[in-house]
Amino acid sequence: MKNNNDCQFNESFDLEKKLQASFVQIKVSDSGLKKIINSLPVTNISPQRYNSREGQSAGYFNGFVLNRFKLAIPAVLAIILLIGGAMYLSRGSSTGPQLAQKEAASQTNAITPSPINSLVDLETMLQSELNDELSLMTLGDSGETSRLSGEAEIFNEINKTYDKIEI
Amino acid sequence: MIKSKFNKTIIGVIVSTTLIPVGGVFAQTNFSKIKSNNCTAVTILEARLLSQFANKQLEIRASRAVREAENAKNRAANDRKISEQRRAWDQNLIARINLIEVKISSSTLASRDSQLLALANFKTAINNSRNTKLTAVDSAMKNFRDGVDNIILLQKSQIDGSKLAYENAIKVAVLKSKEDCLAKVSPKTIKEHLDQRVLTARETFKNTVSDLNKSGGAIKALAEVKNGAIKSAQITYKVDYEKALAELKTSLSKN
Repeated sequence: MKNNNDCQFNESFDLEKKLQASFVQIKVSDSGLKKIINSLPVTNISPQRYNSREGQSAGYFNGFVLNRFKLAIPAVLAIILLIGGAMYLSRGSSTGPQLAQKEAASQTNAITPSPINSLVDLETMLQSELNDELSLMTLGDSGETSRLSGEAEIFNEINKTYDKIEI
Repeated sequence: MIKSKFNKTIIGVIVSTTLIPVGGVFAQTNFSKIKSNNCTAVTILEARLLSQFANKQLEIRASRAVREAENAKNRAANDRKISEQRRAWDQNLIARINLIEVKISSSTLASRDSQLLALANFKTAINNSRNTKLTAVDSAMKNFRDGVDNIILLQKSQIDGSKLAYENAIKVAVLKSKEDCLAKVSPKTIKEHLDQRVLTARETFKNTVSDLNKSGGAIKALAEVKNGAIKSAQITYKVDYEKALAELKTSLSKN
């Protein structure tokens, strides 16, 4: 029995040695290694796959960060797009014809319920018009008065000339 | 202003160039210096004086023409300003009323039709009162300008009349000297008489036109009358306007 066991042990020992020797001689290519790793089942011990997307980040921490970024980047992009869109819509609504419509609508809304508000303009217009009218009507007064001085100048010239007449 | 001064300068140059040669010719024939032939001296003196009077008349006419053109231009410019401003006021008022009309028309109030009617009444009342005011204001302005024109015309005629009287007095004095010369009166006496007559003519001329300065007050009074009339027309318009506006306000307050 003992011999039998020893024989089995020796056989397994030999086999192990052979295996070790064969392993040492084996040179696995990168692509072959990838295939092997990818064919392995996912377990707790080996959660990561070796593929081109994951590159060389085989570590657990790197994988954790990468997983978080996978979620964070689209989320940030989505937020940026939302903010940008909101700004664009906001800007677009206050320019050009839309602005005119908006103003017209606000004006109409402000006064339509009570056109009486517009009468305030008519009141202020009146006083301004009357003041301006009076100013305009007195504009030429000084010019008209200066016509007299023109004639006075003429008289003075005559007077001077006649005073100088030599007899 | 610059143009006016320029025009005056031009007139001055023209008159000077016409007067200088005349003065130059007759300067050598001064009455007091010619004793050999007094009658010739008087004749030369008479020609020189007549030439001076004529040149002065030309100068006055040119000066007045410039002044009148300037005045007409100023009045036209003022009228244009007033006219443009009135058009702007009208357009502004119409725009405001139209806006109110649109708002009333677009409302769903039961009183919409009565509000539109009130607005139409307001427009009519304002238009009528506005036209009355404009007529009154234009009339006040016309009266003022006519009044000033009359004052200036009176002043011109006073100056021209005095000038003519002076010139006639000088002509009479020269004629008298001619007679004295023919009557063999001594040159010294002729000269003394002539000097005295010329002096009297000058004094008369100065005294006659001394009332000129009083015309300034007359124009000021005319301006006050004009401004008073405009203010009065404005007050009437304002009362009408505010009354019409109050009525419109009452109507628009109803639902």
